[in-house]
Amino acid sequence: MTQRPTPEPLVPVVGARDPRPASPAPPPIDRRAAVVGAVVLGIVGLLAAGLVALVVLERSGALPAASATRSPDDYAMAEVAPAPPLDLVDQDGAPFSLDSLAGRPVLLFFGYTHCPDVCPTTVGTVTEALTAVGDGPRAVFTSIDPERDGVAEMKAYLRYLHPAFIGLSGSPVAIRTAADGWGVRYARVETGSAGGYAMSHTADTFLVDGQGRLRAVFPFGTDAAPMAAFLERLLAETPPPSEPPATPLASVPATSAAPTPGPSPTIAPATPGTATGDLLAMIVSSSVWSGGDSPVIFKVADAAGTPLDGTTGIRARVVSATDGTPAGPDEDAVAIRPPGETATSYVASLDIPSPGAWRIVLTASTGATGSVPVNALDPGTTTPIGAPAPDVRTPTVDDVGGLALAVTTQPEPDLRLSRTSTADARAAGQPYVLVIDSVAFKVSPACGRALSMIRYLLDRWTDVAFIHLEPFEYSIVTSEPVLQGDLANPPLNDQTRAFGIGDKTWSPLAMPWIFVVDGEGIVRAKYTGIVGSADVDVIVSLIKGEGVIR
Amino acid sequence: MSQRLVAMLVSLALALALAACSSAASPSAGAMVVTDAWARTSMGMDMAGAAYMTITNETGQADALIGVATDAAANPEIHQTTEDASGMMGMHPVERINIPAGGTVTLEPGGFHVMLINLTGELVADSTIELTLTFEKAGEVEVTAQVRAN
Repeated sequence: MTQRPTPEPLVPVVGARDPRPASPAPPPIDRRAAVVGAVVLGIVGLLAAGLVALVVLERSGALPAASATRSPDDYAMAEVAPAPPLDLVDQDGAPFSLDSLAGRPVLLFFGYTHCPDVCPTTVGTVTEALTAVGDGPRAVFTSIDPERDGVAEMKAYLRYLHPAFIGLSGSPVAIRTAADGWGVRYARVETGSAGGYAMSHTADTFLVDGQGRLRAVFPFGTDAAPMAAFLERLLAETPPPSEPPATPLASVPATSAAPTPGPSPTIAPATPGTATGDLLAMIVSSSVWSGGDSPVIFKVADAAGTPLDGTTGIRARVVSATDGTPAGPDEDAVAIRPPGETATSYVASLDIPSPGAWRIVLTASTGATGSVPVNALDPGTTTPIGAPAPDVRTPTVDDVGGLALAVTTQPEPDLRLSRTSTADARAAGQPYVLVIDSVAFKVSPACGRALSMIRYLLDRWTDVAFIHLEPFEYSIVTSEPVLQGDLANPPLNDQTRAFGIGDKTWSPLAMPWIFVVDGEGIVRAKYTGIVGSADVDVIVSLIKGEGVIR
Repeated sequence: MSQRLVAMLVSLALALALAACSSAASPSAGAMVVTDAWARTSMGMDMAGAAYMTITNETGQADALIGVATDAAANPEIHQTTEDASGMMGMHPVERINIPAGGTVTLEPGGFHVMLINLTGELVADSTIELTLTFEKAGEVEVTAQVRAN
């Protein structure tokens, strides 16, 4: 992710990503320190021992201990500024805004009700803090899983929480807008679990004071003690209203619980990343490219927030982000619902003239319009969408005598990703999804995530080849992969280079990559950085011609 | 958090069986020692629960936790939460948790955990649930987990 532009939060939530002071994380293990002699690739030896070492390494991700000794000041915002908006819908279906809690400190965090580990842990910590300080503060749980969490689900969930909790939900667009404002990131991740998909998300807890200002950010794993101490401080600064209302939202007129006509009240019109007009749109595509046709995937809803199901046609056009000047013609979007999915996506092939900020204007067959901002990426020298994929042979596990570590650094390799070469798929006229990613050599925070995401798609598309390619040259030394060079400037292998990665636009540190190639060998989509599974799923569905509605 | 109820279990019969079959390799072979087993009170029955514990491998040989069974949930799975460098926390099932000889693995919030999917009953504070852990070499170990809020 070193080069990929990311949307800036509305308010610079400086340090919100990780204000964690230096000490709690366990020291990383230097793998190379354990390596004694260089043994060439191909020597099997102690593979199993290597796996143990990798699993132990993974453990370093667990929550840091002993935050109880920290002072509340360790979590304070250096600059006190108004909290970003949180204009969503509460558990009773009423519009919510932080203003309704003015005068009270509020602990708030983002999560989802199906979350069994991280979110209940945060709920528990926040509950401890609330209990410690007594009446006054409120807590807000905002769901970042709009597919599963609606008003009713939040209401049911709150039955199990401290009464000071408020549960917010909203449309996918509204949730994404709110989360962006707070610098909160999330993604749906398919895991193959019986529990359904998981949501990956940042898990900080934010503290807003009675004047609506963001005062502190507590990373996941913080104890209740500093939260409670900070709450006490804020309560001393501003005593809460003496008569707490029976419900936190008693001031909201009951009529506002009814569906509101017109543009959704949950969307602040001036917010970057927000749709405007009477169509609400969200761009699903995690990479949108400039310089030639690039598929852009949308979810579209009407003004009431009801998702369009494909019976309505959508046309899309690129316009200037500054003055709205059209930069291309209206293109018909394909409406598609991949097999087994309930949500309809629209895919428009758009030619965005240059990298940077643009706006996409959508027009429905009903006459409704809307628009959504988009940030187009510079493709650099990467293989263009619409061009033939390079004729390279990615190594399969059979090519290397069955030594999995030679073709994948996944600690528990899914060898289905290493059975077919790009050359085999091409020869067979089989579509393929090439995942260029590394678990061992994490040059970006997104590394490994493309692989775990793609393992879900394997089961959905059995006649599509899913192929993992390690991006870097490495050797195997005492059953561990060892990079042939420096992690700050890792050597790309030939196959990865063939896809045009490693130029001045996309350095070797920009990982992972996904290329979706059709049965004719043509690149139909490409992604870099964090990639949503819905993204690739929709493109594969399109290539296969399955689930196309119009 | 303060009073961790230690509800644990060393299966004597298992320990003896292990000692018998691996005595040549490790004369001091003991058992898988599981301590601090607990499960979080659930949010009703629709949402998955989670169970945690500390496992110390005193069998004298490397082993791995490869499965969990329980009457408390129809689909218990071993999961791991990991945090990437950007602060995104995500969860995924794992097929095994390797435990080196003499090593300890802690299943804890924000790390490894047993995800109790499709609960058969609500997990209520101060009750207990039974878990059967399956290790690759040590076989099955029964564990009682206390249910508590956090």
